[in-house]
Amino acid sequence: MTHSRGSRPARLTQLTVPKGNVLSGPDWVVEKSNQQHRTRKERLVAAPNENSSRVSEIVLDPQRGDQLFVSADTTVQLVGGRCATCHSMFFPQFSISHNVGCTSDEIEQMLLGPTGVLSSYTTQYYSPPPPYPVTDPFDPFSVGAVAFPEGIEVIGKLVPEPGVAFAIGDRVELVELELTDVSDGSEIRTWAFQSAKKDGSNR
Amino acid sequence: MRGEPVVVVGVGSHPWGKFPDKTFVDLGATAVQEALKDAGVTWQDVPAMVSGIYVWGGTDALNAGHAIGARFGYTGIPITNVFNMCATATSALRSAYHVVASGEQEMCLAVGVDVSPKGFFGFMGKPDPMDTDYLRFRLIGLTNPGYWAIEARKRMAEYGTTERHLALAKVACSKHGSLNPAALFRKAYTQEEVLNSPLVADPLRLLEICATRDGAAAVLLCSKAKARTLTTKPIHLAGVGLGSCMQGDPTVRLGTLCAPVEPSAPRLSESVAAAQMAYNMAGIGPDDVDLVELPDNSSWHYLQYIETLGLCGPGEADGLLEQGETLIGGKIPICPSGGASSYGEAISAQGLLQVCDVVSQLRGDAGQRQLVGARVGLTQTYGQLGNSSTAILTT
Repeated sequence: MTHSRGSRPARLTQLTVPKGNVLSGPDWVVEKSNQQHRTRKERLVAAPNENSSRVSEIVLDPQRGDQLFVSADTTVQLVGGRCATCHSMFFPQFSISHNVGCTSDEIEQMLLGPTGVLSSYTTQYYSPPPPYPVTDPFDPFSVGAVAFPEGIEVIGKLVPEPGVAFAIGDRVELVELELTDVSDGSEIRTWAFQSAKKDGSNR
Repeated sequence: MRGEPVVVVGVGSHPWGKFPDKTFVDLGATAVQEALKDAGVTWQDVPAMVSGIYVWGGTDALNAGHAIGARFGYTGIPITNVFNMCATATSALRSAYHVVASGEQEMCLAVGVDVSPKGFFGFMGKPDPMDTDYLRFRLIGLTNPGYWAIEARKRMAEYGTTERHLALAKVACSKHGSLNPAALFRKAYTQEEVLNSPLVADPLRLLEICATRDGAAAVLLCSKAKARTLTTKPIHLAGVGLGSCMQGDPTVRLGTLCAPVEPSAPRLSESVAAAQMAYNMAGIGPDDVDLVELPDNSSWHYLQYIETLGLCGPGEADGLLEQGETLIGGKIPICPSGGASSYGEAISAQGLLQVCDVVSQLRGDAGQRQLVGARVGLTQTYGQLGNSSTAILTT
């Protein structure tokens, strides 16, 4: 594995901060480019506090709108799938697999979360290749594997809390993370994990 | 069904590295030429060929066997091009095996070549929100070493593997690589040097992850009767296995986003399946193996594959490594060539390079890194999406 910084055009990621509960995040980083100030920040947001539940679709391609997670009030859940007959589980819901011998087509949605247990994690110190929205400079970020009580483990970004180290066995909760790729203005909304409070309450 | 015995009669490779002034055909043709020379035959003697392809190039790359064949002149022989992720080169070997074992041809050439972009492997193809490999890059940014790091940390929690063990795996490979004139990276590292290399995806460090490089390797197979006319040192391809993953495997496979919490199949089940198939074909077990070229893509792979191949029990690889048993002269020498750690990895060619190295050991041609009395060697590849392969070679 080698890494060559600067071999591709500099792209900055601007993370939008929708109205809602700002939970945590590193400090603002402001950079000056030729023409304009660009602002980059990785900021974690909870789903907006609305009285009525809302289902938010992650829109990767507006034409398709495939659903990976749902937000209702401050609760975020992943949308996995399960076979009604053989009970095989998978995420995302369209990534269908069966236990051997089952040919059922009765696939049902299975909501995962909002909490799970961290089963492993890593911090990546080099920028991933595209199509990950590249930032310059690159800030290391963490990814975790989280086990849900339903019996399935899912990977996702892991949001640090300042001064707190991750540990296998940590209880984590799902949150929604938004970012805008300033290179093309596309909005990316993804799921992420962050430490759940010991008493189980949302903050 | 076994078919006719199959013998390796020629091996050849182009050095691993980056060759901006060469095409993949140059690399592949060199490997083929070396293998033919090693066997003492000419291109006109080759009645069939199977070639691994690679996905980073254009139409010629997807039709690699024909492009390489053109360099020697078209002869009308059957040429099959195969792609099977990390198992590509050994899949070419397996197809070539069947051409000979079935009696269709008395010889068949297997070749693999790879020319890849530098750095992390990225997403190949068009953005597709229903492609989990696209999603992992776009929404999570998890690189291949990131996946391996997640597995490595699980291993640390499960078996007490430490960062020092991970560093020691690189030390062991680099010690072997320093003895291999064909290796690209020939420095023998100390544990401290490895531990001082930068973290890429913790706990894995830069020196604990193999580099991507370009290369080509070729192996000429023939029937036992034909081999008698060509060599006095026949090496038998006693088993060649190909495996796919099993439902219930707890490994979060590259390019996927989930795995079951409670396993109902072994970790890296595709590799377990491939190895079992090869062991069964060869009629031997792990205890009979004298040397192993395994996929040391990272230090996690190094430790995990010793166990996946049944060479020791779960969690015991760390101890074997610490005691020096995986070194040349130890109980079970692992990657006596130096492995991908010392060559770099050229995906579609690596499996055949491993065969070249095992053959040189079994022939007694391995120079400074020669093992004493080695009779059975095993090669094993990793698998991106659950495709893995194994070859067992015997004297």
